[in-house]
Amino acid sequence: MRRKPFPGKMTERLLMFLLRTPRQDEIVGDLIEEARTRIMPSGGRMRAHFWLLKEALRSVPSLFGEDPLRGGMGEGIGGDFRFALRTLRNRPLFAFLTVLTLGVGIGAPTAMFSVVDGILLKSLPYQDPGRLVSLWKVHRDWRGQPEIGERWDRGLINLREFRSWREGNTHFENVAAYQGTWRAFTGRDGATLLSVGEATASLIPTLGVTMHLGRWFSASEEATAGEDDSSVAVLSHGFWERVYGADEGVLGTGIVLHGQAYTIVGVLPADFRLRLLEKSDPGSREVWVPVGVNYLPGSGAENSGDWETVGRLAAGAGIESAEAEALSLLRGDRDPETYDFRLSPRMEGEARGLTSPLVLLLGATAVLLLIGCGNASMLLLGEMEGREHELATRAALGAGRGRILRQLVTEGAVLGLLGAGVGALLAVVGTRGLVDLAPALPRMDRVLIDFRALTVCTLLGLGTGIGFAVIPALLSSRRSPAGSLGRSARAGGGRRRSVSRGVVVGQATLTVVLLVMGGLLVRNLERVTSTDPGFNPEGVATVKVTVPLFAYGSAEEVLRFLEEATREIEAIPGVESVGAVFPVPFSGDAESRTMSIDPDSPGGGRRVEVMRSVVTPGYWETMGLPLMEGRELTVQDGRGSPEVAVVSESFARMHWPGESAVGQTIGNVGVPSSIRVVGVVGDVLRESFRIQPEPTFYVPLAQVLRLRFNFVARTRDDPEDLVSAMTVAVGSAGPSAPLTEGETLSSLMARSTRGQRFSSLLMRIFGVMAAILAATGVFGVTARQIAQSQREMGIRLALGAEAPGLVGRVVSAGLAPAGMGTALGLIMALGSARLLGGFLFEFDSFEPMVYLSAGGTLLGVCSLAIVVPALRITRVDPATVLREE
Amino acid sequence: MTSINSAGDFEQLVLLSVLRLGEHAYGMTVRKEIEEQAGRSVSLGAVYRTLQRLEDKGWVRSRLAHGGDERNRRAKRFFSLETAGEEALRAALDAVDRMRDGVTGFAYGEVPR
Repeated sequence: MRRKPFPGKMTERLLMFLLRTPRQDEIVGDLIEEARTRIMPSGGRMRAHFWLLKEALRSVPSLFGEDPLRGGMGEGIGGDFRFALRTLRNRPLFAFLTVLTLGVGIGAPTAMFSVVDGILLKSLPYQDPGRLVSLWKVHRDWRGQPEIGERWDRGLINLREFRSWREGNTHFENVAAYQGTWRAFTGRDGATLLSVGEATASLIPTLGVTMHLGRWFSASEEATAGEDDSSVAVLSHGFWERVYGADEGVLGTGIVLHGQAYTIVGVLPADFRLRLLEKSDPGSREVWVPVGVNYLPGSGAENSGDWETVGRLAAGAGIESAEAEALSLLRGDRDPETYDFRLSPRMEGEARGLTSPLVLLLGATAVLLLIGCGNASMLLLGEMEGREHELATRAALGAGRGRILRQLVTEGAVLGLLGAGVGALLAVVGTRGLVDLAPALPRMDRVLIDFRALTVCTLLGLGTGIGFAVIPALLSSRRSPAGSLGRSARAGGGRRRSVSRGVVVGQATLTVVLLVMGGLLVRNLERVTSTDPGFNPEGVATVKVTVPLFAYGSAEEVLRFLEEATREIEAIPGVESVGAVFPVPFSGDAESRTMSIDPDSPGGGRRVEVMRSVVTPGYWETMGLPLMEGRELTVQDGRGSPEVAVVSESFARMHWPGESAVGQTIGNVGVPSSIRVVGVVGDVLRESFRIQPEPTFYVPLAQVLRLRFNFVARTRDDPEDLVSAMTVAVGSAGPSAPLTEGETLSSLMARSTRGQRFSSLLMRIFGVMAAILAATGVFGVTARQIAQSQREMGIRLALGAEAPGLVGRVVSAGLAPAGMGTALGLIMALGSARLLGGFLFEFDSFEPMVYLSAGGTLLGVCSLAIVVPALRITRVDPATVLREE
Repeated sequence: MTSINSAGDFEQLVLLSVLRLGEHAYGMTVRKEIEEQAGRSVSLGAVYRTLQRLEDKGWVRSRLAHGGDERNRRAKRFFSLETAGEEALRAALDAVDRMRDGVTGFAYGEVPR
């Protein structure tokens, strides 16, 4: 058995979090080393863990505290301030609740806003991004279909199309194309796969980006790259820092990719991105090289490849006429039955996908802020009501109205400031926590606490504090002191009590809405991820491999490597079956091809855009994919034998309805070819749980050679262990074939939903926070009411009322507004959920259990918040109360 | 009175352990040295905080090295004294020596009663 690493990922992450300073790495390293060398040998793992945590916590104050040598807070806090602090200390429960409620109300929204803003709202680092557009290919077959339609609306184009567009257009200042690819790179840690971008020389001028260092490619370099040793490359900022230690002397030095030498001429700026929100941002490529001679005009490569485009509209040029022009330029090239082209503003494409959940979270943020301020106002109102007597006494003793107001303002400000302090702390911790919690969402690395948001929230908190401290005073100071004093400290202020009730109703309403939304998102996620993917991911592991052409000269050599690696993996103990495939489901890779159906029929058959998978014979067995009809691919379907394919059920249904697919033919477009369909397999989810199975055809890897593919293998044992064993096995079969990290299929699948998991987690946090705030508010109101009605209760008890009955009355009176709010909230939630359903795929807005549990949770929490203070009634001594009268 | 050019009490301990440890002086060993020799339990955070301050003052310098598996490959920062640090330490220790001089029962080398 392999030993489990110490101290484990979670603990290590926690340590890093606690000790987040510029030197955290060394500090954590020291702690781990000491725990391992000094504590663990004598005390064991458990004690070493505790020791680590204890030492880390012990280090926090000295790392983050004020440096005692540099002095602390100054003197000179005003008398009003001290007095305010003293009065608050005399009412600790009220002060605690108000500060807490303001803190949560300020901190949580600030943290949320910072995260959402960092991902979504910050604009792209381009010059004048409004004039940037992209050219997309639209596949007519898929247009109008939900989800798939949206994606196929944004089909990538090939270089030939791009060049026709570039040469003919009159509406653009500049147009550029780029695509992502992988190249082998030999660095300090051996051969690795590097994500490389290929781009036209116009890319950086089009975007209007300033290089961090050096320069970008020139047009002549674009034409000749790859021809001789004069090729040039540009590094990403991250790669430059990581591999070259941010050395400025890197310009002019060489880098070897796939056996080809390049000269480094520039470094991109740190914030360079091409897309804002996509999972696989081509802008995050580590090295950029020019398009080069691999794609010479007229070559076959020019017709393939997935190029994304960006163009900068000339001043005054309209997008509609630019699109019409692009269509006329490109229509001659393409079968208009199958394809269309369209232009879309760059910004529009950016925000798609992630926007709706984030906007939802932003809305939740505002709601939480509202609940927090509402709560604080309610607490303050209640408090002022109780202090009427005190204020009247002071007025009677000669304190001027202005003097009393000033004191109240100071008190409110102190509460507001304390709340803001707690809020700022929560915001800092929360933003860090969210960033740590979050999956690798785009731009997450750059999220910082947003000071605008903190300022706004703090001002709101201060405003609430001061406003609600002063308003009741203004109202009451109109009355004569005598009136207030005469009534002693008895009940009163019916109007304000109804205001409090109104606030409780509002809070309960909003809380229920948040709880329902959170619940719905969670349910939705559960349902989506329980969809049957069509294959069995249990026990399956995969490693990605790219065969560098420079090391394997011929197709035969590549196939020999493939066979040998397959044999090596089969020899791993526990392995049941092995296959190779491109693309692996849920990996984010996808490949589509234009094919003709029945190419031998008159007119060359119907053209369709379908998904392609390239597989070896062991693939279906490994994935547990059922054969429906005909036969599977075998080793006999090799190079030189007749071309064959297996299609998915939906492919067969769509193109040969009512017929058997076996024996039919499909063909490549542009070259005479006839591929016979020999079998039908079940449909699988290819990319994510949210995208329905798409019609797919499978061809043998031996007949359609690919240089990048994945090995997949099924084991009886733990697939986690298989991952490393496979890496070793493939490495021994082909030492110069660089691997990227392997993964189990289950974790690949889990990763595809991490964005949704994150947003539903956030919504749940919101719901819980809101419920806590609402309960705090209800608790505060009830506690105050009961304290004020001691006298009434005492009299009632003296007159023979039973304590339990009184408690019951108080509880039901307190619960009434919460119940009303819950009912209102459920209605509002139903409405908002339907609205939300419009944004989210397959979102079921009506889940009775979610609504029931949201309502139940809130009522339960509120009951507790009422019952606890209500029980104090049973301790009221009637005799004491009566004596006071 | 604290002189700018003289090391404080805890700073003296840290500087001395860096000297004692020579090329093995990094956070963990410095702390251990103070604990074992001076009998003072301090947090690693305090050690780093002080070393940072000493570095800011130009009394010590640090050098980053790769860490081994025993520390999960986390970086390791070695510390050594600058000339200014040695002077400051000497000034502080001299001051103590001068103060001790002639005090019965505390003078350097005197056997306590």
